[in-house]
Amino acid sequence: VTLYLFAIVRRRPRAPLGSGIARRPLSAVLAGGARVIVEPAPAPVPTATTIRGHDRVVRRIARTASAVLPFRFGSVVADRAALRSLLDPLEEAIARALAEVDGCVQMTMRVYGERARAPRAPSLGKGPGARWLAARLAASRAPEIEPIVSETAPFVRRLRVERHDRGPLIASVYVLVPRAAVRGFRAALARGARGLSRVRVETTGPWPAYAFAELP
Amino acid sequence: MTAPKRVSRRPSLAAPSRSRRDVVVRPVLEDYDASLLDVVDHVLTKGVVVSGDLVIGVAQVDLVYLRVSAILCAADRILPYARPRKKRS
Repeated sequence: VTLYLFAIVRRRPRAPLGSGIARRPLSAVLAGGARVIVEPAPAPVPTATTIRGHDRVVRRIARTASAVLPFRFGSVVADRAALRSLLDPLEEAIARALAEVDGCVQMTMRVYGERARAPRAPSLGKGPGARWLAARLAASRAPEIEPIVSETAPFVRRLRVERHDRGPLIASVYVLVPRAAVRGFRAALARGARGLSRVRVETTGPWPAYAFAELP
Repeated sequence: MTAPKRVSRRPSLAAPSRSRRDVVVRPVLEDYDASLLDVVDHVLTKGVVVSGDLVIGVAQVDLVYLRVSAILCAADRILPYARPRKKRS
């Protein structure tokens, strides 16, 4: 039977793992120098119920472990040996990623409204490489919510911006916040929001660190 | 035989129209009512991706990834039977 993957944690959680989307008991498999929480089940058909179910299980794991790297929905491997051969070569990357998210949750900000004009590229040169770099730089920033970014900076371990080219949603901003700093983050967010113009921000969270769970 | 009733309540997945406050913070780690869009975005487009011959069973999801990343607003079309969760009182 195949293994459906939920999350990577450092060690087996002490609390009972419970069951997964297919209501089969979860287990913690040693792989990549960490433990992978799996369910003996096939990949579920993506529906609202199974997608929420994946999130619910990851959240349950996150309540028992300080560092959690959720898998993307639908990840399935043939067996334990396959899982080990996939993750063992990534042991160092997994340790780094776990260290980064350790003790943190993710807050997600959706920014709606008017896009800021693209800032002029600072003296990066005029070649295609420089233009590419400038475009990358612009895409990784959210000038529309600068007051929020600067107010919340002391509470944020890492920030990731995804800009959207079309539609009312202009950017999704994901931040990694230490669990103990969530209250401070929220207060800073409210302060920063007073300085916004022409945009509206909707924040959800805390989430498990989905947007920071990436291995090279 | 009567046809099953269609679900008429759809989750609100387009840009929310909340306007009274600029910022709405919803605590969701313990008990949450995040919109389906948010859950879809986090669960289907983020997270550890493993790839290779050893991985099976994700192909079916690829189409959903594409649509979500392309429009990020119409998960109710991808997931036609989605029902909104009851909000906490």
